[in-house]
Amino acid sequence: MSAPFGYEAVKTEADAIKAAGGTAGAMYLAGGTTLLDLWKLGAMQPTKLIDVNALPYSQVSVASGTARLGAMARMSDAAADKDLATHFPVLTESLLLAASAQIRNMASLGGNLLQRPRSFTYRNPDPTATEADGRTDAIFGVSAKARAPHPSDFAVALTALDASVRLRRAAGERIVRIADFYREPGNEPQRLTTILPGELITGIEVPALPWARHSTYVKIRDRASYQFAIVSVAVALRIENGVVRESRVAAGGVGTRPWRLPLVEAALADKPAEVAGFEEAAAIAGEGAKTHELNAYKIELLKRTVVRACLKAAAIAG
Amino acid sequence: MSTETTLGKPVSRVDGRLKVTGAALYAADHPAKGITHAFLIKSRIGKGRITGFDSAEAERAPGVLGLWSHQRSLKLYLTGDNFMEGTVLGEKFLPLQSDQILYHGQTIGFVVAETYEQARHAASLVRVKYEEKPPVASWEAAKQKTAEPQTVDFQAARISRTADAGASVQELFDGCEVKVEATYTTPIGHHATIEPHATVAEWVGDQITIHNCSQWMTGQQASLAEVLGIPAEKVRVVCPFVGGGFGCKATLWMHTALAVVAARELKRPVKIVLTREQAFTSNGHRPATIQELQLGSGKDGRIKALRHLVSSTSSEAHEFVEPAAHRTSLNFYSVPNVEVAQKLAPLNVGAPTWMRAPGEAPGMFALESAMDELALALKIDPVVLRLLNYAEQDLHKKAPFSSKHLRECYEQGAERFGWAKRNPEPKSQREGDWWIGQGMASAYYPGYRFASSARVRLLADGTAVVASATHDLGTGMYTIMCQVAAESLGLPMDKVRSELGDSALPPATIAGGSMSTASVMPAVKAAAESVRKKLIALAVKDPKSLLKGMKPEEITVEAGVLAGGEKREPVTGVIQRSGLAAIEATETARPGEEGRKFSFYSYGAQFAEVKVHAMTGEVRVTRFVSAMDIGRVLNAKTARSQVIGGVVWGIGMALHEESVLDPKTGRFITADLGAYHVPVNADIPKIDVIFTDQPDLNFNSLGVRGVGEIGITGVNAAIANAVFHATGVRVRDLPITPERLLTPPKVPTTVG
Amino acid sequence: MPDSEPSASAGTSRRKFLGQMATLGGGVALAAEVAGAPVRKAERVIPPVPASYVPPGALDVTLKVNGENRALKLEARTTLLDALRETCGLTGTKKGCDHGACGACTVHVDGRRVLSCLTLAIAAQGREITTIEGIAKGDELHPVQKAFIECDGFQCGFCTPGQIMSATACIKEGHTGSEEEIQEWMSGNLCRCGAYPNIIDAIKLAAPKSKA
Repeated sequence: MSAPFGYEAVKTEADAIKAAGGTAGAMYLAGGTTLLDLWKLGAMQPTKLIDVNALPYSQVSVASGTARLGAMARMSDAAADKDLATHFPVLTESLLLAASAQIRNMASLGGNLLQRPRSFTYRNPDPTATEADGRTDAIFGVSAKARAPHPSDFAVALTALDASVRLRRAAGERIVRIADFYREPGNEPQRLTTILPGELITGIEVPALPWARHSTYVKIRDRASYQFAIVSVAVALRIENGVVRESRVAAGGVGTRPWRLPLVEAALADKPAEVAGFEEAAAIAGEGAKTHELNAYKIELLKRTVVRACLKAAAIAG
Repeated sequence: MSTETTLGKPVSRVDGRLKVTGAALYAADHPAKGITHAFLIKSRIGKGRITGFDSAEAERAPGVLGLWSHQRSLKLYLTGDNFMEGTVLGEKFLPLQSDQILYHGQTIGFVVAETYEQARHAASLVRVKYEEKPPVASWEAAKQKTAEPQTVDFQAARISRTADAGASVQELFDGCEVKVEATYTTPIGHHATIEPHATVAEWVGDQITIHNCSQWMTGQQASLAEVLGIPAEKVRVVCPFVGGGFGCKATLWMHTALAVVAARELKRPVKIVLTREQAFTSNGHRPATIQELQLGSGKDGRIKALRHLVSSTSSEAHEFVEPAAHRTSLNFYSVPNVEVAQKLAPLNVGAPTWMRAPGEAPGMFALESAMDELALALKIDPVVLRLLNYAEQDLHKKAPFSSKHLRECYEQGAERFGWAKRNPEPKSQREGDWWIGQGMASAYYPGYRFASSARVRLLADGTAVVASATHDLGTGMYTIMCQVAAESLGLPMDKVRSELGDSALPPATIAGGSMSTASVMPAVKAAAESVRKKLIALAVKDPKSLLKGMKPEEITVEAGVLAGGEKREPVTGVIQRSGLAAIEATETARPGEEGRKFSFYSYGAQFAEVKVHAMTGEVRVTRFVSAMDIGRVLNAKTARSQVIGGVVWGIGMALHEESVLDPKTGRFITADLGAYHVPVNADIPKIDVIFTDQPDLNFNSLGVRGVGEIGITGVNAAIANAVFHATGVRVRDLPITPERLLTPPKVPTTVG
Repeated sequence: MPDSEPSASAGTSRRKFLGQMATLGGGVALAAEVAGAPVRKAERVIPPVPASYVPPGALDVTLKVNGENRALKLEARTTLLDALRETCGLTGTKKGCDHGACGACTVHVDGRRVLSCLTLAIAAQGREITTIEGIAKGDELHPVQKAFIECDGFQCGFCTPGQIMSATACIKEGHTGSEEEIQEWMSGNLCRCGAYPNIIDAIKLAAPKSKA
């Protein structure tokens, strides 16, 4: 726990990958808001940190409707981007509703995707430690060993938008759909993504989706601010003549990974864009959930949050 | 030339500049030459014993200077456990004295290194083996051992008072026309001071000085002396600034003693700063409660019978009572037939301790929620119901309340809040997606006072120093000491400075129980008056003074000038000519016989408005009015801030705060500030504070009671009552998180 | 009239501050005295730089804090917060949780508010670091500092340096359009004493005066 580590600040992608490749236990350091938090707890044990903050991945742009977000862009910079807010308000809102102003100034978008859940499994040095049932536990994608919800708000919005993650390793670059980037942890609670050892996130691409202008992110929490979601929902709606034609719906706080709700999307199709239609579609949101006494409420809360988010998106749409 | 009084005015804090510039030194900020850094090693099981403690690798780690455990112990002694002598330990189960484990997070090792990073790392290298037993970490598991304690507040655990001989309170309740019977629960809470506990221990010869987070210098001094087995004169406790206390920095905790003993062995200063996670385990918490409440009245709304039965959690390591009924239901209302009872459920957790309004905070939640339920059953306005049952005297103590202006609190609070405009019908107000509701509750806290001393020195330059081993937890003590001393000396306030936070100063009582102002200020006043008398005595004897030969009683002192008739003589001249460096007096003020004649309490009325999201159940407080009867107000600015702080705590208790134990391991699963939710800025509305400002001169010479704790009391109930008013859902379990409004409410237990 | 401020040395210039540090050496004067009156400067505690133990593996790290370069020997794992507090003797920045959940350690790095507990000192090299000790101009307090005193924007004072560093940034960022906006953008700084409404008042008071 909190052992010494080496440190190397790199200026190029090639140097970064080289540095990572040479040392077992090397990790990339960007904003540090997850890494240093967990290193102090003994839950991450880097032998060497490769500071990638100088890499030229800080752009945030929207061109031809496609958003390109550098992995090293800070949450606050992305959140302040006007084009992004116009084309993908769900992304902007998910960023602004996360963490605090200070953390958003530090945390990189790439690092945001790699956050670890806020539970003992991920916050202690003993990988075999067991956990109690808790009110924040996930209801989807849970296993005996992994039950904490994925903490990222931004990743939920990206999941709704079918974004892709750009990854670089010595063997070259690959682009992974966010649906394939995250995995259900199952028996390997520490493996939350499909990222490979030594691989570096360089950027995020959000494909053009004109009707994502009518998108929103609703986050439910006990406190009014600075808290991980109990339940959150990202929604984009294409509405024609008061009827939902297409939709994207993903939820946070409920899954061990950002959780797309395809059944709800299907159910929304051709529903009138009003409370009754949204409620009907949301009724299926809890399908497949596994709950216990303390988190059973999340099914009902999820349904209601879907409705609330749809109403808000519809209001933007209208 | 006259000095306008500062008493009661909104005077800015005299220590403000130090605090806004970062120059105020808190315990962990104290620099010491050759300082070393300590880190605690904590148990990772909830009950059992240590079967192996391998510290070889840790001891070899770079920078490590010493490592202690039950195998290589630092000898500590138990104290006498006497509040009046200050020998009160936070936890009577001393660490490192055996292989026994009584709770998860118990301190089992202590490592010291050259740097903080080295100590933290070394602690992680210790390999501990345990023989594990299932801990008792839930109400269910504690059921077998749940029992009445020997005493509660020096009284019986079960007290029954009936006006109708021959019938039990239960029977009298059963016979009432209108009854409310309900169970309320409150969870374990943590103080979560933003400053974690810290100690810098520094020996010079056989004299130990601890720079320690402290709300009780004299107590920690006495306790540490006994724990070490040395005379109290050898112990000095220094704490000019403390980063929040709320009860968890009053008693001596053992990380401090371990640092002291380690510093003695290493012959170097040792600094220990608890991590946030550690601060959740062995430094106190508020117990959880289950409170069964029965309120029976006639149709006229007059309560005839009240039963308030409490179970609270305690610790196998240290018995602690959260007297939720004894401190509320015994005498708050004018009820002829009352029964209170207390049971304790000992868990495998660290010791609970006092946490802001211990007893009253959870107790008033139950009592004042039940009052709201009764008001609804009776269709009587909640304020009116409280006035109908207003206690004109303390029926338990059988004594008059010394100074009670609660009626004014209800009236002024209601007026400011606009209570009269409230539609009594639940679920009757909606704004967009939000239900709106208003609720109220009463606040209650005793007036305590203990002997305290203060010293005043009037210097030849015309400035004065007022000193006492008291504390400023952010309460404003530095400031009101200057105000009161200046007033009594006849000096402008900016000529007076205050010293506190050092056990070498004249002794004062604990900064707890809201008693500092009432205890210390009379001593400050007395000492300043003594100095003034001495000054006048000098002036009338001084051959060069214009006042020579006058009668002392003809002389006044104002704005640093002595005056007798038309004659004026500056204070500075009198002292300088006397050849004295200063005129000095130390006085001790202590309570007298008044406690036998009167019952001393502070009171208040809390009015809350909330909005509750109609779909997703988040509760936000939108308006708050707190009307307080705390005796005389010495500083309107700092007193208001303390009430606001109390209300913020009440909002946290109502809506956010909950420490959750893993029933299997006994580990607090919410042991960090990401999981233990204290309110953030966005949770807090404008809070309107009203003071009745009525001096309680039976209590002390200044007529002050105290304001640290009353602000939190009743807030939780006012909010729960407002949530009911908004939604029609009665939540009897705190905190009121969204799921408690989404899941169908429990069957109403109101019978009418 | 009743508003009086002690003239502590906290507001004195950096140079003077360091000078006093040198004269005090390992001085252990106590800060138990707080004044309503001008105080003899020598009574003020100036945190000295602790004895210069250099851990194995320490690296040369130069930090530019409040406009001054400081050459330090630090391990790579030392956080900016611990470096400021334990090595630079700048204890105004507080450690509340050490895990990014309370905001007490807020400082500015290159003009942006960040958490020094989750920043490595070595990674802050070459950047402008500003702490609570660096925002007053000599004896003249920053408008936000003054407003915190006037509005009683604190009680125990422990979260206050972080609150003030956050507040000055909040104003600079332009997030003071409404009380709700200030509340949201100040929610990363916990105050357990519950001074929040007064903090909002202080920021509203200071915002027009601190546009510079």
